Amino acid sequence: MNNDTNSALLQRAKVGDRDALGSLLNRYRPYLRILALRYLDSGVRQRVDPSDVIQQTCLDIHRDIGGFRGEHEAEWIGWVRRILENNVNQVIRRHIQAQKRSVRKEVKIDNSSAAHRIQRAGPVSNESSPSQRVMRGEQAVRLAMLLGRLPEDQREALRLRYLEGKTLQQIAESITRSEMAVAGLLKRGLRNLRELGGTESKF
Amino acid sequence: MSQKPIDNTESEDEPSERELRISQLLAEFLKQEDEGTALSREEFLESNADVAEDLIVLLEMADMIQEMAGPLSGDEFGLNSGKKKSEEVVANADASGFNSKLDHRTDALEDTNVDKDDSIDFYLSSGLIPLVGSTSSTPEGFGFGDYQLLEVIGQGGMGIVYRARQAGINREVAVKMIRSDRFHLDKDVARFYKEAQTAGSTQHPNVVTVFDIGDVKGRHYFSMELVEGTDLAALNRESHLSSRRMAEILRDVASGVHAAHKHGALHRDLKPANVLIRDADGQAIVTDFGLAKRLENELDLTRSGDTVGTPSYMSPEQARADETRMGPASDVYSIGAILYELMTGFPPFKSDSAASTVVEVLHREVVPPSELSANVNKHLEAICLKCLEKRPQSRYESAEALAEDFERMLDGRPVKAVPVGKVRKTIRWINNVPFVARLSGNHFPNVTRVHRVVNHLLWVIPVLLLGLFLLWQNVRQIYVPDSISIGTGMSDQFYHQVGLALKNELAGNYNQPTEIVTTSGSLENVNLLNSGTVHIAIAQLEVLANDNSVAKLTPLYADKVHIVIRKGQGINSLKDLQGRVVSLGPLHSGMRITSERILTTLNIDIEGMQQTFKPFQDMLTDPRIEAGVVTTRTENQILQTLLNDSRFELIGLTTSQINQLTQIGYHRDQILGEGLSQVEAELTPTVATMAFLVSNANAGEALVTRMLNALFVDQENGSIATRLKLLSRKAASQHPIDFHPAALRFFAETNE
Repeated sequence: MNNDTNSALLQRAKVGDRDALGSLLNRYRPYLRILALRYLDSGVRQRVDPSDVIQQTCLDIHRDIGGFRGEHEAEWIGWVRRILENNVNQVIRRHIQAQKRSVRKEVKIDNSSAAHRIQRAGPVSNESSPSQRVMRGEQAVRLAMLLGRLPEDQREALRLRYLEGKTLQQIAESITRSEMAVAGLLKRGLRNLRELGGTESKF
Repeated sequence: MSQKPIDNTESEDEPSERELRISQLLAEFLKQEDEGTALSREEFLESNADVAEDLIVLLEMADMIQEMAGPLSGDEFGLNSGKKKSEEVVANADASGFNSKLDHRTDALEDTNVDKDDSIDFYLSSGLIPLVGSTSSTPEGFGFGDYQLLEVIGQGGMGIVYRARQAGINREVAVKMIRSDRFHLDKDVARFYKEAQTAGSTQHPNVVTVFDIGDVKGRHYFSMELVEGTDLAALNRESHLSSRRMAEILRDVASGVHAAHKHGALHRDLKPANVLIRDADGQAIVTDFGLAKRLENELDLTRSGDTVGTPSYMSPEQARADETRMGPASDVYSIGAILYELMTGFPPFKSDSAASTVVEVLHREVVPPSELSANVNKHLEAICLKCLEKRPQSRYESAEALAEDFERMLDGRPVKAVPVGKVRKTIRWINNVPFVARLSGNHFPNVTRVHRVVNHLLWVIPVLLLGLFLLWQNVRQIYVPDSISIGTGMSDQFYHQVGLALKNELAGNYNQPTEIVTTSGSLENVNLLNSGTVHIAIAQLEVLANDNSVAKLTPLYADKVHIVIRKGQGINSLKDLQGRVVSLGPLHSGMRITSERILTTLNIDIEGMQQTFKPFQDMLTDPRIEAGVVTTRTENQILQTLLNDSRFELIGLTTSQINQLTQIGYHRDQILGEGLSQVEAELTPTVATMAFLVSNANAGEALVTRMLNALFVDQENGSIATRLKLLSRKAASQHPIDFHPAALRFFAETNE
């Protein structure tokens, strides 16, 4: 099953092959992770583990796969994205409600921007990073997979720089490292990625 | 997936000053990018020539990430709209430092646009096409292996092309860098080397010579002859070529391609941009042999338009990625496609997206150049169309044969390709009528106005036929035969009585001549209906089963199953009929079919009986007949006689037998003892089936309605139904079976 193409797995998953669906979702995990990280503001992230959202999304997919009518991987990606966005939406809504109930607001959260952003169907606008990449399509899934194989700090640096369009300074603040250290992470991350891309067999 | 150890430690890098410097330079570059003060990439690389090789890798990898991640948000519909979108963002951004940054982003987008632009392709000859983002050459350049890279002369999907000076030999060459992300597999690299070498070893004046292939620190490159000139795409844009010039150029191209074919190298990506015309002598030189398509891995159909190498010049077998059928004829096709573009200004197939272009290449028939452009040389057109045949075996057998045909044309000798004739034109024209196209599998016909008219005419004929059919249906609905024939049964049976009553009614109250046809019963009646001999008949439900050619008008009465036995013979149940002489009804009669069906269902062995085909009334006169299975209405006069005779009596069916028979469509019933002296129990349990008034399934509404009126509508002496104690029309409408539609309407309307 490791050598099957995504579309082959998708076809089997559609007709009820649970193993195939499992394998497919494993491949999509890094992609879901990147999207989840993007949707969840760092404020929200302190309370909500992106893994929970991903877990919930995988469960929903397992439950609803029978209702998926698409044929192509592109349609599948769209479908999976919608489910994830839904779950993120719910989590944020719950979070905001909890926030309102909480007397001692320990975490400041810009609830208007977080909820509003998702309501507009995805991460289309985010004032802090106008050059964010849309992360759509099979290439994006493949990229996420490659990134998923990098060490955590390199991956996060690359993600913030090239997917979220953050400045070097912003990244340095976000991961509490020096700018020089961030550049080092980016350098090693880029090289590792090239190494992975160059040796990887098609999946 | 192979797992490679991943660099996760700083310690390996830390001691090296070089590595520190690279990190530092990257940080600087990124900061400048953030602040909008960045130099151009080339300037940045040139001013740090000592580590340029390392930096290129990083920058290209960063490009690749962004490419894979998709366009920028707000710019999801393709790169072409990128600039506009970014400008809007700029306009909306506040003045606090965002502007400069966004300005820079806009530049970056423009760069990407250039990268995708088909017009600036893999190879650009120096100086003739404006270069975007390039700088003037610096005297020293920066080192790359044996080469001093002097100037960027082109930038394409596959990588950057530099004008370079080769150390030692001191000649100027073109060095093409292959973007590292273009290799996905080790075997891709191996194939790249093999093909580039094969093509490079082709010593031919019309093929660009490849000098050197290799890699410097993992960056693959090749160096080749630097051609001072222009490419055919640009030439064709700038000037209109004469037919003769077209033939000369493509003869050169075909010769060069043939030379490479002899070495076993296919070009795979012939297009105008890959044909260079040298300024000095006007020679056509083919470049990029066997490289581009291989390196593009697979045709990415999800992208739009020109982003990936356009499939416009690809042969059908190549568009289908059918490696086994690809061969010299595939390149012949591409040469034909180039010729087509030279003649008409467009490639043979070009659609909004690569995917739909591929579909056209595969399925659509090419429009002859003479239909698109005036003054098309008909020999050139013939050559072109022969190259563009969908089936490889219909094209020129080799690029050499193609070159020879161009040569013939230039010499004024007749070409081998057959000019488009009248017949072929006509066939092609007909094949583009949408209706015909659909039949012949031509999915993408070129439909003109005249085609549409013809197509509509093709539709008019069936529509007319349908109209006539509907008209006929209508006539049939109101049609009632001059004389209605009714199939009944034996002249002494109840069927016959019903038939006679109908005949009298129709003649008396409806002025309708009617004829009674006596038959042997249900089965013959159905046959007569089917053959059209009678219009109306009476039949038992049993014989109607599964016969769709017969329509039911109304149930008439219940035919009950009577088991009549001769007393004193020791017969107490159906089981006791074994070995006895039993009357099951005359051969082929409805009664006999019913008897057999009942006994078979109840697992009573008919073969074990001494069956007789004599009618049951013979029991009165023939003492050998010991029993009879009589399915008819209890009121039947003969049955009454039998039952009133003390020698005979009825036996009932057991509950389980009745249950079995209800499974096959009979209904539970009882025979009333009233008036039957020999029946001790008042009610004898049995089952019944129905006799129906039926017509042919095609019978018109008027006929059906007339029959039902005759049957149910009260006259002075009541209706036939009441006089003959038939089922009422209310009972009829409650019967849960399918009726003739006109009968259903009749019941619905008359039961208000």
